Amino acid sequence: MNAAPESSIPDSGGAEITSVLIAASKGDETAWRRIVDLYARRVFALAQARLRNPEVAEEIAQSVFATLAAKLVGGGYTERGKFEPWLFRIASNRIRDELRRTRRHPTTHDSERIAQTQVQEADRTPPEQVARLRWALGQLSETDREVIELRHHGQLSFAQLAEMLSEPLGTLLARHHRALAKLKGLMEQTLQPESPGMRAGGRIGA
Amino acid sequence: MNIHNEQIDPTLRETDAMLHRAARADAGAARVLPGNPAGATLEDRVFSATKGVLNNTSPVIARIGPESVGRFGTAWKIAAAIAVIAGLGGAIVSLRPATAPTTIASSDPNKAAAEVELVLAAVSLLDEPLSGNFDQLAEDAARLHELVTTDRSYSAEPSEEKSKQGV
Repeated sequence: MNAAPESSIPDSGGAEITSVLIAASKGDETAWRRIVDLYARRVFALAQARLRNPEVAEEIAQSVFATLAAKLVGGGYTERGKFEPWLFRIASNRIRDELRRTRRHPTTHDSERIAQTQVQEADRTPPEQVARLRWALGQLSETDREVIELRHHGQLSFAQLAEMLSEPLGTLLARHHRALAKLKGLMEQTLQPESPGMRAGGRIGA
Repeated sequence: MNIHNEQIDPTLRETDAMLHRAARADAGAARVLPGNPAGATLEDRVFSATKGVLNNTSPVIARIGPESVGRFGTAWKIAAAIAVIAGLGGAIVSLRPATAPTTIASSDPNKAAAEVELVLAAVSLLDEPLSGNFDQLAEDAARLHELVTTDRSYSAEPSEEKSKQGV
């Protein structure tokens, strides 16, 4: 596993990303490579957070970028200045579709993959903490989890999140605060000896 | 990273930081595949799989495209053919001159009278046995004939009545 590259991310509304997008839409492979370098890892992380499967998360990232390339070339991208919310809307929809599909056709290897991923994560973070966090995230509502993951994994700013989710900035900030407080409460709950999360045993980390 | 920590409640910053670490771990969970022809890193493989789309020669699109596009194409052609046939049929039916309804009040008074007689005769024959009522039938027919052949509109009748009543 490789670490996420530290690249400077230009403001999605800025002139730099706009010029890169225009160049890519004209078939400039260097510009396209720059877009992939800037955003592929973030899309992957968002998919990985939800699906816990690096192969599927990579497939989703490829699919999102294939859609993006097709839209750029075909003139389908018209939201100038709102690139990141637009990109992550595509990614979120793709992840949601995949979640629906896996719920309909669950695979027997999912638990193995989750265990494998957690061992890898344990190299960097205490396993108990990772397990608690994953469990707590799983207890959040879909909308709370979406806000948190888009912000941390997608690295969207609050303004971009508000744009993407079509909500006023104040509402979005309140929503994020509530979700974070819930997450904290759930994680503290797992520290209690009689907590339902701990009693559930195998449920933690799923 | 476009995250502004000052917008986070101080009591929640630890949770926020933990999430940040988890996000980094997820981002780093991408496979490294040395020797993979498409590239070792996630970015290499995404770039390799999608760069062709920029020149409309994407292997991704090519792989999932032709078969399904072909199938959808055929389905669309069949649907379009059915729609065209249905549309043409509808147009022909709507443009065809409708058969004139059988009405007693024909524009030709003589023809109308003849029709009245015919209808009355038919009704009488169906309703009643022939019991010497031919005279009555003929009388009724003559009266109707007179009514129809007289140049007097039905719509004029009420206004005449009204004028008689002084309304």
